[in-house]
Amino acid sequence: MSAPRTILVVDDDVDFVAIARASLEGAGYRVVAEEAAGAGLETARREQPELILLDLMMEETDSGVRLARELRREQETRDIPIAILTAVRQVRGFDFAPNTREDYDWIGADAWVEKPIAPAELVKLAERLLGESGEEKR
Amino acid sequence: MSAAGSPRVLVVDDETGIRDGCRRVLTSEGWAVDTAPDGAAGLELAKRDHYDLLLIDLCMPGLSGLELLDALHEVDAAVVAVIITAYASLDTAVEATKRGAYDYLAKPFTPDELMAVVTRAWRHHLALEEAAQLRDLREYDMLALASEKSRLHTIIACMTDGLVVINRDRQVVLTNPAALRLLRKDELPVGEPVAECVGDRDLVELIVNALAAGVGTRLSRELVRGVGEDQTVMMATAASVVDEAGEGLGVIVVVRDVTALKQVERVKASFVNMVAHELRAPLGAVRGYLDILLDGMTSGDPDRERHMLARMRARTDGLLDLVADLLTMSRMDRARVSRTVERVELEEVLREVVGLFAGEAASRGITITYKPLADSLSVMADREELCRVFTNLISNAIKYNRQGGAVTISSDVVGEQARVAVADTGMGIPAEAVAKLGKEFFRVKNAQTREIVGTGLGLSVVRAILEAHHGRLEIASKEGVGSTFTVLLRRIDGQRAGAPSGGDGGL
Repeated sequence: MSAPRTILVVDDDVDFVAIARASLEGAGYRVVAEEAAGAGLETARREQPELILLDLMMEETDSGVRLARELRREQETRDIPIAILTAVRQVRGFDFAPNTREDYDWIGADAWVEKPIAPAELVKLAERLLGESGEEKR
Repeated sequence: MSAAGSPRVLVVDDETGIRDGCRRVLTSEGWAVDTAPDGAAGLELAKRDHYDLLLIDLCMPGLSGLELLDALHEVDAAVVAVIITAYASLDTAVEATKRGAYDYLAKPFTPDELMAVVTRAWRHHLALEEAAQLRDLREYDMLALASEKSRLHTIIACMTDGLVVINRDRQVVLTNPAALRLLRKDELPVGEPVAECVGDRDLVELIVNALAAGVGTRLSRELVRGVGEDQTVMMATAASVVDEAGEGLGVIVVVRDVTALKQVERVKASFVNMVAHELRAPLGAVRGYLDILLDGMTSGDPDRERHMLARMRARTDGLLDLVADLLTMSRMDRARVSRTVERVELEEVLREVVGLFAGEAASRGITITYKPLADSLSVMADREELCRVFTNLISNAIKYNRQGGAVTISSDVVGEQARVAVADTGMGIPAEAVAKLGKEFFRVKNAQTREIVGTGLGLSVVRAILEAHHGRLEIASKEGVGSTFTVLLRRIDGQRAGAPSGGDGGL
């Protein structure tokens, strides 16, 4: 492996971004972070990351889901694996967690992870998703 | 029974010796004795006065003993008479008792024989009286029962809980209006099989199970009618009814509306859920930073490490604030018993709270100013809770302010109200968010609030405290300019306790 693989983190939680950055960089990845869903699509096009970690609830309760669906529609980003992270499961009468394969397909996320997640687990998640994509796509 | 307690006897006999002898014997035994020489005189006395016992000679000139007995029975059917006869025979005795005499006494008789007969007759008289009393009592009970029945009917009809009684053949026996209302039925006709008229499978199942289970059964089940706003949640409890032999007679079902209770339960459950999430987020962040720092993932960059430690402190402070707000809220729940309402000087409270924030304001270059009203301003309040109100408002005014901004606290009087305004020069609140402020765990989320650690409970607590004090909170805000939170509380008149009363000229 020569150049580090890039991971895009889109999350408005400054602490999560700082922790994700430190742990993923510590594991040898390059981390690009955006704090608003609106900037996520543009950055993904430009940076062409190999993995995108999305927060579900940013400006809107479903910002992450919408961004994931947009990324799936775009030619340049549709094959990038996406993990949606959320701390809002079943809060505020709102449950977006998918249960079936169909749900995952509709949302377009490859993984759905509940926050908080330990830095080591986040690294494992990235490795798994990058490994998967590596096998399937090459 | 005679009022005086001594039995009264009337002796009717044409023989003076018998009359006197009876009088002597009976009087010595404590009886009150009257005598009559013939039937007509005896009847006259008996009509005028009440006698517990009559001794009547069978053979008298004029009105005979049997004729007198008949006449007496017309006056008082319960009269107790003993027939005295000189020629005792089975025939006369039978005849006399057939005509209503209690017993007979054969002449000549000894005082003991007389006493034995009259005592027996007396006991009979007492038994008759007792029976009459019991009969009266029974009649009285029936009357009471009739009114009791209508009272029960009224009680059942007015019960807020629904009542349905079902017999062992699963037919409706009794219902009340509440049952019809709760089960949303126009009628539940008596005699109708429950399965056909109740229209609720859960309720029918409950009844069938209770009938099958028999003696001493008490089964409960939740029933739901309608959806959404129109939904009623009910708790139906079925108790079996058995006779003395333990044979099942049927089931009594009580239906209680628990919609409001369920609502409270739901709100509590969702509150606990929200609190759990609000606790988890900062704990998760602190834990994440700890992992990074302890596992050496910072590549030893001291600035980065210091920043992480600062964030950990901020998130921990946020947790402590959250816990403080939660404690205040739980205190508010119990406050009806524990709130200490006293005369509180607003100026004192404000000075104290403003003082607490001097350091925090200075560290962010924020000027904090308190402009008190010249006169003293008092309100009736729980001092600790009032401090919490201003602590939360001033803390927000600093948190959501810009670097080098200002926080101005002022107080004045508007009519009956004391008014305290906390104004900041911060980012302001988007118009659409103002209405949501104070809703538990609602926080304005945008680029500017991202790094601000808040509990989402501060304004809820302020609102709840003010409500409990019959006060209110007003919010005015302009995005990019600042916000003003105004507290309005009813002020109390008069001077500060112990202060001189000015030019009022006392003695």
